[in-house]
Amino acid sequence: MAQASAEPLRLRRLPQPGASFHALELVKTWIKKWQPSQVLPIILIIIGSAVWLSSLSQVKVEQMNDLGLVSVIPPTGWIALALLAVSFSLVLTAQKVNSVLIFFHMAILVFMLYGITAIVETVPRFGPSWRHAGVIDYILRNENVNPRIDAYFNWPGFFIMGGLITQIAGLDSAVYFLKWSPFFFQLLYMGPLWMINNSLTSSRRLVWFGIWVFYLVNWVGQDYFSPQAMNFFYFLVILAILLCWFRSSEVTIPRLVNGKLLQKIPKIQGVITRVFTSEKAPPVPTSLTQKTFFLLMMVMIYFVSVTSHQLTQFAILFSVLLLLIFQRITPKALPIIMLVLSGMWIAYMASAFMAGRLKGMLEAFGQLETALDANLVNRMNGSPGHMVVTQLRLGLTLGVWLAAMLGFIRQWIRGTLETSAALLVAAPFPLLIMQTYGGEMLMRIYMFSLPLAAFLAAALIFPIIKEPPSWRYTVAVGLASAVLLGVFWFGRYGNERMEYFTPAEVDAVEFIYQHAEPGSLIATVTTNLPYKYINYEKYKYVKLEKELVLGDMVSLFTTLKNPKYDHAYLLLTRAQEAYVEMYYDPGLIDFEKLENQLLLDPQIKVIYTNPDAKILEITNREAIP
Amino acid sequence: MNWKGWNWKRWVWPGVLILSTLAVSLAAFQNWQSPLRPLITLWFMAVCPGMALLRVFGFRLAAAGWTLAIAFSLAIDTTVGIALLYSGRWSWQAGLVILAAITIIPTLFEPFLKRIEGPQPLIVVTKVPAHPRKPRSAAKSE
Repeated sequence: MAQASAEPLRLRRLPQPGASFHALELVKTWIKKWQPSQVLPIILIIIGSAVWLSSLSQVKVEQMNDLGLVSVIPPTGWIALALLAVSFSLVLTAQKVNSVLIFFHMAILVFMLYGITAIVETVPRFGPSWRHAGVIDYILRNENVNPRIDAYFNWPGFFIMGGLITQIAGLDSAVYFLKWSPFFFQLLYMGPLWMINNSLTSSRRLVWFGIWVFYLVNWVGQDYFSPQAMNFFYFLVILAILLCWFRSSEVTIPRLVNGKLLQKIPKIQGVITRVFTSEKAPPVPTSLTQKTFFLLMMVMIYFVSVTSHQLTQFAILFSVLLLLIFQRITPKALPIIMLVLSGMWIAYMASAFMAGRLKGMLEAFGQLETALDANLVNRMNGSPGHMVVTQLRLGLTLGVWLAAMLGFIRQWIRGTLETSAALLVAAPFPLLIMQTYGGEMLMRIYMFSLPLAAFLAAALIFPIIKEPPSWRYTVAVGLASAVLLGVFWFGRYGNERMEYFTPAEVDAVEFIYQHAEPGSLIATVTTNLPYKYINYEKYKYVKLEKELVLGDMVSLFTTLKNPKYDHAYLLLTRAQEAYVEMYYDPGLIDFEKLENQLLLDPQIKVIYTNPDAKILEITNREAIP
Repeated sequence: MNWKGWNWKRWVWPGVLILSTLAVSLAAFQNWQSPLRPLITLWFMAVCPGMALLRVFGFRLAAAGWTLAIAFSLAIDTTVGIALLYSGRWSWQAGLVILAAITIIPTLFEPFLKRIEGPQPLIVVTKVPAHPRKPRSAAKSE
């Protein structure tokens, strides 16, 4: 080979714009590649899937404790997961890589990890997803958006798309989409992840293992029916397009690196030079028309992201900027266009939301201590089970970042450095100083850094090695998968006791909407319940969590008896009770005590009750002096 | 008509795209009350407009093609929806007609267009950066 010089070669398998593709040819290739050693994993995965499906019928969600779903998974479920881990490690380290078989394993993994709640739970989980269906309902009834209602209506892109699909599909509500959303969104992510990883390494084993690790450590749970889930897909697609088709082939070392100061420290100079000069991937040949098309589509995707989500647009912007600064990609005008789009939307279309909040947001900017308090300290409380979950989540987050760092160092030592991956792990961190995002910013940063952090973490266990891999790698992949599969359930479904709903809870909410006059006050203790999915703007909602924590009953009565509202209802549900039990000291908020206390007032009576919910109506209201 | 040069593979995707557009239009405008209607709608709206554009620009990609087609389709759906809503002309019928046009027009042209570029190399070869790890045997001999 002409290229077989002193320097080793790396082969990159990137998506080819001109290469033809036919499913028939793929199947033929697969049959040709068939090896007897692949029979064992296939048998294992078939048995594993059958065992998993049969074990799901034994899952009794109502018996869940504060550790979440992990507490009700039967032993057969764990056997199925172990079979999957063994099977995957065999397939990944087989003599020849069989991508179809690996993809098959990946799809089953996604089904097991992210499709489970759609099977074991009767009604869609997670309160915010119901609210999102309510925003779509508003748009379809009113054929407009009212930015004064709340933040959703200032970034309504996702809901408008949801509305269009709901109406064309002939459905009366978007609630039908809620149940299987996590499974479908996670499946969607596989495509851009595959493209990104392929653009970073020639090892197909590492490509797939990176995706595998991503699924095993993605505890964040932002894949429910939401703008964030959709926008995370857009985020990945923009990165994938840039890394596949807009790679920079020429690197100019910044003048500073060759300056007098750094010349005195040759080691540091060498490190910086290496960061810039490594990973010189020539872009895949594309015509000017195709590149223009891709650029236009990227701008369109970014525009859609700008209209749909406050945060993701900045994660995209920071990632693009960092890749440009380190000369990994070429389109220099892209961040400018992005900045203009974001600025214009915030200034004109989201001005109603920003008007009252801009000052507070500017004050919060740069307050790292406040951000850390909101994201870490304030979350470290609750029942012992909940504390275990919180600590495991934090441990998993820090563990993945640490593994990514070590993976990067290992690549550095081996000479297979991928600077882009490290840059993209670092890119979302500036978001932390922007604002607290309701105490969720650290979680979002983890989510945006995860695709590449998982890739680098996978490189720690599975770097580019001589082919075929030895049995040690099979064991390492199997063990890592088994451990992460165990931890996953705590992180991902640790709050499930308060995030799932029963049909009885939905019945109670439906009862309220059938009986409450528009304009009524609907009070709840917390907000984790399946409500607001209909007539979003027609009721006033209030949560009483703060009053109850402070024991301020006067304020509570004042709120419930506010004469501004013709009718007022207090909705108490099982999920809300689970929430207070998980987050607060025992007895701080006691639903039974609260109910008894309220019923002492002759103007308050129970109008609906079922095993999981109770509705109290407040009649003849007068303000408490 | 010269059927010798007929390549059926070239017509698979255009056929799928045209049939999908017809199916979703019929289902929606005839108001079919079938559980298949949401599935056809999801398929059309999540894949077809983006795939039609990708193909007319000469992209024939496997996994990457599906990914991009879905991303482009959803972005186009959203943009069409936003344009209709903010212009005060919200109508799902208008939205569907626009999306059908975005799918059908490029698809009708696609089989007759020349590929935008010639065949591409299957694998791109790049040099690994300096400082590769030395083999153990070499390190020992030193």
